[in-house]
Amino acid sequence: MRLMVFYDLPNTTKSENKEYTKFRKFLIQNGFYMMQFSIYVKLCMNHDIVLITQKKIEKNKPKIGDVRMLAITEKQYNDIKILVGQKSIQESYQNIDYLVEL
Amino acid sequence: MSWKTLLITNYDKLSLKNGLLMVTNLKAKKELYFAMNDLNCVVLENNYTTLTTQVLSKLVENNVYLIICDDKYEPNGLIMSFHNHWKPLTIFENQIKLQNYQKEQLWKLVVEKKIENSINVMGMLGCSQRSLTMMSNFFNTVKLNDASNREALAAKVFFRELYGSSFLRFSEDIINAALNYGYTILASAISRTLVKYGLHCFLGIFHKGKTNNWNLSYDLVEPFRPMVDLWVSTNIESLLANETLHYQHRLELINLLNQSVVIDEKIHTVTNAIEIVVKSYYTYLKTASLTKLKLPTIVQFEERSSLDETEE
Repeated sequence: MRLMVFYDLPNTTKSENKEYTKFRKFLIQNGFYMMQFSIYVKLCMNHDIVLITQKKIEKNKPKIGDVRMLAITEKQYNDIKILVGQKSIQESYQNIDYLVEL
Repeated sequence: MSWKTLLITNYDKLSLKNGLLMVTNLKAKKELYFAMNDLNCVVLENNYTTLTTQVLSKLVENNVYLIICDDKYEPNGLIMSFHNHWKPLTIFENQIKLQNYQKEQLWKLVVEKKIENSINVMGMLGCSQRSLTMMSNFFNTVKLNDASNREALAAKVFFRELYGSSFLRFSEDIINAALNYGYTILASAISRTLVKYGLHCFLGIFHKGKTNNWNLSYDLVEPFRPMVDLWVSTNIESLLANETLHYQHRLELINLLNQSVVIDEKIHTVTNAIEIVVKSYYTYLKTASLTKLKLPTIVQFEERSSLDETEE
């Protein structure tokens, strides 16, 4: 399953900027990778991990702005049609393979 | 929950960034990140990867086990955590308290399971009825502590049947190299799970090597061994065509950790099964009830797509 987080955070004052950086860094430290700007995705092995991660995000959410999250299954995620652009290297290695050769 | 195995061959640097493992290929200027709690095992195969001390410490802290290989690509080292259990002394005392008669009972169960698994594997490979009857005779006559040494007899028949009558274990050929590689991967997976549960690997059940640090791992690996044998004998032609262990072979041997075995009529991956076995041994030490001990059964599976596996 994939947990997606979409955010729009105000970025004008210094304190807003700080809050935004903190939230983004929190996502990255928890294994999220950037799919597009402001859209972060984490690969979760099962529904329980999704629930745990969602709780964690809720605890660390920024005070203002617009943040949403959505969990979809692996199949739905793989059905995303890319019209323009391509997957980043990081994204292409985020799959459910048990063994990764590097 | 950790599940990912990394096999590092072309990438030359491991470091830490934002709490994630950063794997870099300096030549191709590629960087990849992996979350520590997704990782199960990292195998370092080439001898030019550099890694920082911080990575080592973080890997150990997250109980990811790091396997180092020698020039022949055979695993020769394992790095794992020192103290990651909150009650080490209690467990150590439990392990020491294990009585001789208990060890004998345990070893009987382990040997029985190993022979049973060997028989299953021989059945899958379509071995002769004569040797199958011999094996089931061995299976039925295992005594306490395997006093009549059924394990060695069964292994002899088993190896002869699989690799021909001229096969000698511990001689230096490609079959032995493949077996050693597979066994080491399994044993190190068990060692790290033992450490995770605070158990001491040198206090074994049957193995008593004074210089062996992994006595308990070698006890518990026995029922898993026929998996490697199964793989080797199904790939024996391509193995014999090569002098050394090919990259693809090593990859498939490491991937044995993700194959399926059955415990209590439920399908588990080997990594998961090892966890259950070690946990059950831990419970056995506390409760001294033999029914608590769980050992894996190897059965034949249909090819499963990787999507099914995530759904469980």
